[in-house]
Amino acid sequence: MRVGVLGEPWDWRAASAFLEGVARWVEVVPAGGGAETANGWILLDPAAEPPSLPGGVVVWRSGPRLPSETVRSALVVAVTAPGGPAPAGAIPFPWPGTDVRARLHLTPPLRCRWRRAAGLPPQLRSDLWDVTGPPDPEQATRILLSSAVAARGEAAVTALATGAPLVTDRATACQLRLRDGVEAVVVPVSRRAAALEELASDSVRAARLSRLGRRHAEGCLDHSRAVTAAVNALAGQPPPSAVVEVLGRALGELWAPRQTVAVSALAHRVASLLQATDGRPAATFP
Amino acid sequence: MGERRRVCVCTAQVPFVRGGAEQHVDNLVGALRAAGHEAEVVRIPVAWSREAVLPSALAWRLVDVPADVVIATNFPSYFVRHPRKVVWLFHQHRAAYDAMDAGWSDFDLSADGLSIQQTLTDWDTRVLEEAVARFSTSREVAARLARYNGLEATPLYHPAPLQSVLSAGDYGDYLFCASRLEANKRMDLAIRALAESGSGMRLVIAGEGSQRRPLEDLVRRLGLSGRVDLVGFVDDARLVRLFQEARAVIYPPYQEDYGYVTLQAFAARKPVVTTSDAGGVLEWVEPGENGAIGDPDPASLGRAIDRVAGARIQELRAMGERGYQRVRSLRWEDVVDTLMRAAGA
Repeated sequence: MRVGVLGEPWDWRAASAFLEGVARWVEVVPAGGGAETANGWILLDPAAEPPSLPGGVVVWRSGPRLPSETVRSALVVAVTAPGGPAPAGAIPFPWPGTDVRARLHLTPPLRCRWRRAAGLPPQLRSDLWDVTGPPDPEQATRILLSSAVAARGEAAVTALATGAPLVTDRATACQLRLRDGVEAVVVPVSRRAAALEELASDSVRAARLSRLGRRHAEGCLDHSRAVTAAVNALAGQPPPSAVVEVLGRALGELWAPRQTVAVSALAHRVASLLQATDGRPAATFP
Repeated sequence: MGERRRVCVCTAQVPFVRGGAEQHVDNLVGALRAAGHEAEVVRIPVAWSREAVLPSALAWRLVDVPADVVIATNFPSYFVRHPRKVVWLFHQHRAAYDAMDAGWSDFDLSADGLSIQQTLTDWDTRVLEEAVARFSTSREVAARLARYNGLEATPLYHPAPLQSVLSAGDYGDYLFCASRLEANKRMDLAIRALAESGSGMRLVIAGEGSQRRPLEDLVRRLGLSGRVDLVGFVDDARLVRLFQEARAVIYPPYQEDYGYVTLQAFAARKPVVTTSDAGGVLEWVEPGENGAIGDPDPASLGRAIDRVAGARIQELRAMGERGYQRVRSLRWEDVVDTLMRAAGA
């Protein structure tokens, strides 16, 4: 499946995150880069007109402009503030946000265990307060394995998505709609080291914040819903068999992470059952 | 009583095993029926190897249970999907939680072990969150849930089997325990502690399990053949007699969820000797008041045995009576009322 991209978005960073998400499923090419053979379109400017309408169309809406008449039936993905409302009929794409489904949720006891497996110390407190922009791979790994994390902005989003107990500032809490003591501990900059230490040493509080932080990320910061809806609109998924649908829904409800050892083994086991009962080839699960 | 409801009590079936959880479920169903509800047990078999636990969980997810209320009790039965799901948590899959470092856990630090543990923890948390109410059998189980899953549960205590027929008896020359002979029950520690004790008491252990042969070997090695009786499975009438004629009860499990033995001992007015890491048992035993607590090593537990064994009968009776006062108010009617109210039924 090849999808062409047209137009200039108002917000490149959010649009790039969206295109990266879509590109994990289908080939995404810019106009002039082979887009003439595309069988679907993503319009980064709602006013753009695709040269043809051979397949699905997704309109990326980050400003006040509305889709043109010719693409009114397209799926509209709208950039919103975390937890903010989307225009009627549009799928929200929260910014800042992340593909929460692609991230493992590690509770504090599991973080401790993973550190042990990696030869790291029993406690690991991470102060990423000064990280501006998205965390690099090393910082993201550190966030995943930390007992508690002090972070702001996009690093805080990553922390919430992975269930890292989070210490943050008021500006980030407002931006991400976090409640002090519920999804994160909100402190002034001068208090962050002490708050980090307190949180890392309180296992019950850390576990509660980990769970509620992750749930907040799933509800308000997740990109996967918009990306999945866009890919479905572009590719026009064939209707799955009833058995696959039931199993897929069960796995989806559990936010089963993609392609982990555990879920692959489970999918394999279920797939062999499907082959026996449904006469279909092995199914691919999310 | 409220309206008559159809209630399914969901539990895991471990084929060919019958222990405290099975009695617990049967007694709950009996109490629900006594309260005028229609009640059934729903069981799906489970195997405990780490490769088997996720499919077992998913199996519960894929079946509908037609009932007004479901009461889910243990892993993986709480994966059942129902708009009126009340969880009364006996335990999770402990090998992936508090016992992950125990020798018998197969959740090691390999990629497979870590991945399955992560998925299991995540799924557990989600399906437990769904419940309209969460209770636990003890504070111990609630504390594990808070520490490992970030979830709260309200402890809901219930009477032990036979509690209503157990009564005070004499104080004989033996310590008694009724337990499955499995590693986490630590009957080996009780035997080693007896060897360290200067009391000269006998030890009678009722129950069967995979550790029977190693325990028999241990008794021989320690030269305790004349003082330790592994009497195997006994019927209820004999069990009651063994409780009633004991001097005290010893029960040193590792992080027990609840521990019927303790409640049964108190119903028979016997002091209980246990360890400082016995989990739910410690919610009942207060040292000096109704029993003795040692550290989980033979010497310390041996000294705890000596404290109880050396007490005068009058003191033993007073300790036993104080234990009885702790458990006498437990009633199944209250348990049923609490669960059904929580279900909104």
